[in-house]
Amino acid sequence: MSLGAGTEATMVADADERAPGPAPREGKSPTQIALERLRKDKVAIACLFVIGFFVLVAILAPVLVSIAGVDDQLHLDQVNPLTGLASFQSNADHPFGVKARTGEDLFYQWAYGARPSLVVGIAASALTMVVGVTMGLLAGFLGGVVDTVVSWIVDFLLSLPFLLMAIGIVPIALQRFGNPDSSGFIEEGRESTIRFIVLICVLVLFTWPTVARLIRGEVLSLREREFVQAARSLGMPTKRVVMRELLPNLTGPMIVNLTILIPAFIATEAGLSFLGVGLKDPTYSWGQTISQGVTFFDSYPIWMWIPTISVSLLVLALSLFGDAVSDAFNPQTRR
Amino acid sequence: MRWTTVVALATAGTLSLAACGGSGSSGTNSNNDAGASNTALGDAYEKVPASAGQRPDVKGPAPEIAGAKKGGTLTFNSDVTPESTDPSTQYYQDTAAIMKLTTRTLTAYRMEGGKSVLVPDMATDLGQKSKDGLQWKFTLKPNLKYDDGTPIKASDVAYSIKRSFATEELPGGPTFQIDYFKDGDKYKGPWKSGDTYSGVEADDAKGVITINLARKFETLSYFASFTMFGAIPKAKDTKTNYQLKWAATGPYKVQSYTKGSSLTLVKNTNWDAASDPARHQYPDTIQFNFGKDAATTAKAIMADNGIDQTSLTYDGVNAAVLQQALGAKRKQVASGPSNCVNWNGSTMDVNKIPLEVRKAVAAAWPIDQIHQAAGETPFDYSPGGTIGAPQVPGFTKFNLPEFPGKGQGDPAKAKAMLQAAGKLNFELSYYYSNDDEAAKNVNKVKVAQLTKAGFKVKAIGVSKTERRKKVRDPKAPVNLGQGVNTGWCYDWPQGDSIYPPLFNSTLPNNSGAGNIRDKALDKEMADIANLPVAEQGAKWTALDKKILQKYVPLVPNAYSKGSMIFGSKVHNVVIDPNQGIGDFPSIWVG
Amino acid sequence: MLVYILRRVLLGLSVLLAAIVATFCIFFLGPSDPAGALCGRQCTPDRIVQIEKDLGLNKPKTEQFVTYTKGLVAGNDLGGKKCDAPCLGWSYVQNRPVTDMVKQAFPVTVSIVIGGIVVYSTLGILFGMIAARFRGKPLDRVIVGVSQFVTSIPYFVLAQLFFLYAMVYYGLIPRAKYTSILDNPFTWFTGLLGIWLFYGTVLSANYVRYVRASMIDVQNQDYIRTARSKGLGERKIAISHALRAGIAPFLTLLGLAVAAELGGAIFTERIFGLQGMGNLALTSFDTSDLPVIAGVVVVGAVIIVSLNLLVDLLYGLVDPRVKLS
Repeated sequence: MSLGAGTEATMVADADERAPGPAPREGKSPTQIALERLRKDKVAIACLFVIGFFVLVAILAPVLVSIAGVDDQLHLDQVNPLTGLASFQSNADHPFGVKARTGEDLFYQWAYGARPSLVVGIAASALTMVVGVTMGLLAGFLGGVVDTVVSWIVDFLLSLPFLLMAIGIVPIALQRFGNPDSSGFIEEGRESTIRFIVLICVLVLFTWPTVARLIRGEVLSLREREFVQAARSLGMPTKRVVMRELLPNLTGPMIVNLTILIPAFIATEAGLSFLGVGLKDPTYSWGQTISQGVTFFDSYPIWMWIPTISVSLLVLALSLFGDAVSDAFNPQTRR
Repeated sequence: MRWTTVVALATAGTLSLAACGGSGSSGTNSNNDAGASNTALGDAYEKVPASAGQRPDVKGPAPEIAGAKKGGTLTFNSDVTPESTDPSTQYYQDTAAIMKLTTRTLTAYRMEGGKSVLVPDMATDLGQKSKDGLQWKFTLKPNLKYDDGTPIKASDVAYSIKRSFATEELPGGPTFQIDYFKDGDKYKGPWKSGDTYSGVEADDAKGVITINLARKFETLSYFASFTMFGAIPKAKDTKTNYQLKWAATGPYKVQSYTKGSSLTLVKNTNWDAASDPARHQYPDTIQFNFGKDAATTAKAIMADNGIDQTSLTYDGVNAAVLQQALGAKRKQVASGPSNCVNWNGSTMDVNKIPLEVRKAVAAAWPIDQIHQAAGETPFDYSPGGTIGAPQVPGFTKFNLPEFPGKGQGDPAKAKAMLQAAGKLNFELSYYYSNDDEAAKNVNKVKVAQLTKAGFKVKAIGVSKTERRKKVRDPKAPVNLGQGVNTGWCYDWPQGDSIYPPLFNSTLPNNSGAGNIRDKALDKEMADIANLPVAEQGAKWTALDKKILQKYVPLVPNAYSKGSMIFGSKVHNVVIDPNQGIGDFPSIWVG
Repeated sequence: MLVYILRRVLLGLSVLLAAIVATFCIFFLGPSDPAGALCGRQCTPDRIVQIEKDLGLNKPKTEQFVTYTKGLVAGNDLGGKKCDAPCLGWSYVQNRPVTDMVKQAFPVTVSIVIGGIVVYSTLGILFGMIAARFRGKPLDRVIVGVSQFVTSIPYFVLAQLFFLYAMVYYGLIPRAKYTSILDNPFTWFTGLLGIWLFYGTVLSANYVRYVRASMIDVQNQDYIRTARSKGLGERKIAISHALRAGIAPFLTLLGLAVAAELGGAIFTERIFGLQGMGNLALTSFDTSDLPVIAGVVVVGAVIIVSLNLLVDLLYGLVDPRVKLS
């Protein structure tokens, strides 16, 4: 479901971008104009603050947990052995409460949980953009066989049900790349690193086609435009046409897509962790905490609500910011 | 019985499988006390009538339950989907409980005040065995009918049994018949080997089913309560599709069945109550819904609105409603002993770990912490320090000081024992599922405690699937938690269903518990198993003690319990201690 | 035109074949232990070998693949177990054809998706058009804001809360239940209404912004300006011209929504307790019932490919700006 949200959001961008990118004027690039507009957008600035807050939490996680004096150990004594729940929701020792049964601290998991959410979001969307834009450019500009092949791969990847494939791929990748010893032993740290990488790869693998398709369309329409035609007829080498004429005009759609992909990936990570194929202990993630806490939402609400609110807020801030960016590049879509 | 339930206990917390959940003491209250079902917690095993045993003389009908009303619809919701409902192959607690409603068998368990007693069902008695014990005869009661009114013949029962040998077409069922019946290893079922099989013969005129054995099988009467000892009309057999629509012989018949989703049972008018001592026919309709999320089902039942008032689940008491189940809503919980005993991964390879070290492991073993980390609650277990379950007839519950069956373990004492034996830093290695939250938590507890006790711990995290393979691997390079590592659920309440499958020296490596290789023990077990059933219990008790003390192959952690939660209009939910799940035909709504 | 259709169909078929190969590789070459899962507690090495033989797991992978693909087209006879075409394999765990299981789960998922799409397109188009019409005004801000907010909350949390509060605790909406539309159209409708409303509303939150953006985009196009200059009323323009152009992206979205739901069904079906394709796949993961998962994936791929094909073809019929070439 979260993925659905993501893919559709990407399509929103698709529509936004159909309007041709504004031609350079007054010596300012479209990006510079957009940045100027963005600076004046109050919502965008507010969103930046929210995003900044979570980035700080992620960076400062070790500091925060030592200030709070919490650790990642089991604290069986913190919970009632009969009901498995702690008697408190929040106290000085455990500001965000503790997990049922094991008494693990939830503040610790929240602070460290900010990291994978952001890293997955940023790394996966950056990679997606790189792969997607490259393939889109190749297909759109070179055309012919390259276009056919890339388009076919795009069609192929988009025809696979993403979630099911993700669930299937994770354990296989673990087995292949985990280098288990003769007894099947994979170090815990190593395993969670692999999960992390696999998750990012899976996200990229199934999302770049959308981006490539979009960029290809853009390139196709740009290719026929006067300034590109002119540059080509003047005998400018292909490489320069791409770098000088095409890429600057693609910056808008690329940035807009980036701001849409990041929140979509964060939401997808949460969803995958809910299904048990996302990140695993000892890599904490908000999605994981939500999925564990959701059954206790009435008897121990803080467990689920803190990460839920955090994810929602981050995603909201990122997507509002994305809208602002999109507006900045395409002023006619709003106002 | 039904191995998956043991797996369920080990992985409690995620998608808990059917049966091994559960609390208190169905035995303490009179089970006729409608509604006010038995939730007193704590160690109620002493209160369970120890001997269930057999009553060959019981006739139908089953005694009326005081206050029981007829009519209404009873709805079961479960997370677990029955894999096979083919009477010849089903081998699970939940499926057996469901099929008790539709399928009569030669013998059956019936609840008598918390006791589960074996009584004749379709047969007139619990079987007549020959002098040498190698031939058993069961005689059918007269005028038994299928739901379509056609008579049940002895050859139909024989046919049902023969089908169970077709392990290729119908895999996954019990295999005792293959081990015990004459030529059982050669006969491959009616499709491959034809209808004639010397192990099972039928005489339709007299209504007699004759079973010829390869070796003595004193507990065959118990085995005859499995649904493979029901009746299947050959003309209606649809082979692998028979599981989708089976002929009913019990008080209910299948109205519709969508595998993996829902099963609707309605009254079978051709069922003869007078001949059936083990079943009632109270609700008009019984609806089963499968694949329902356990936590939401539990919350809905506890909220007790609308249809939930007449709903129940056998998924145990979900952690999401634990507080309610222990407090305000305790009347909506039924709980009682199950047929499982739990040792939470403590099986020790006696050939790899020296006896002194094994004793130290037992001293250090953090029983209570494991329960807590695994999310096991008083509805899932009660303290227990034996390999056998106390409700086995003739078994006397005991507690050895080395095996308290509860407590936090004593790492300091264990360390001293290790030191004395000169084995400090002895390496214990085992597999655990690293894709399961509860298993990972349990592992953390074990690593912490065992390290504290002076062991070197190598905990190998693998996937659930991988682990299932590894723990059976005869050559696995580990020494702890192999073989039957989580616990054992007996198939019938007698020691021959517990000890030989765990400790026989002929078992392949890591197929039993502890890999004990002792011919003398084999003989001892065989000798007890060949005694008449009534004499066995006391002998098995002594053997249980001896195995624990002499070999220390495992550390008993608990007796498992079965638990069900139900809406306020569901009555008389009683856990059958031989099945670890409620006795469905006794439940009424109103 | 015919050439175009033919080319699209061929392309679709090649994609489908690749999807089957990929599915097979992922689910049958990966680590799994179906024989062990079936073998049970008294499992001897001999028995494992026997089961592997029964299931054909001891054969070379290439041979298994040929058997699998042949089964899809012509059906199979797996060790005495008859599996009619299109045979998606045999479920190790349930001991019956995967095709039967998928057939049973498929209508459930389709019912959810169709009803959800009706709700979400109605709400989405309605609010999207309103927002576009009042662009920049408070009403637009509210609509966009609410849709942003709803899409930010993880779907599975929303679904869980909706299920418990609306359906269980307060009984405001009938409990989700699937009955075949052929058996009883009325209970089919009432049983799924709650899910449609919920699923459709949440999905429409995305769609609102999409419709809004494309309406605004279309309104700026030359041919709308022409229509306006001809003196056509704003409402007429919105309905006859702009909406028509808006339908094309709607079709694209339809294809995507179905694709997303095939995956998203895992959440919806799991939480609302309906036995559709998603739940089938999830249950099969728990029991290592690989042929079933692979079957669901293959069927999912078939649906997505054919829907994309359909969308491509319809696109040309609907949008005045697209020419089939």
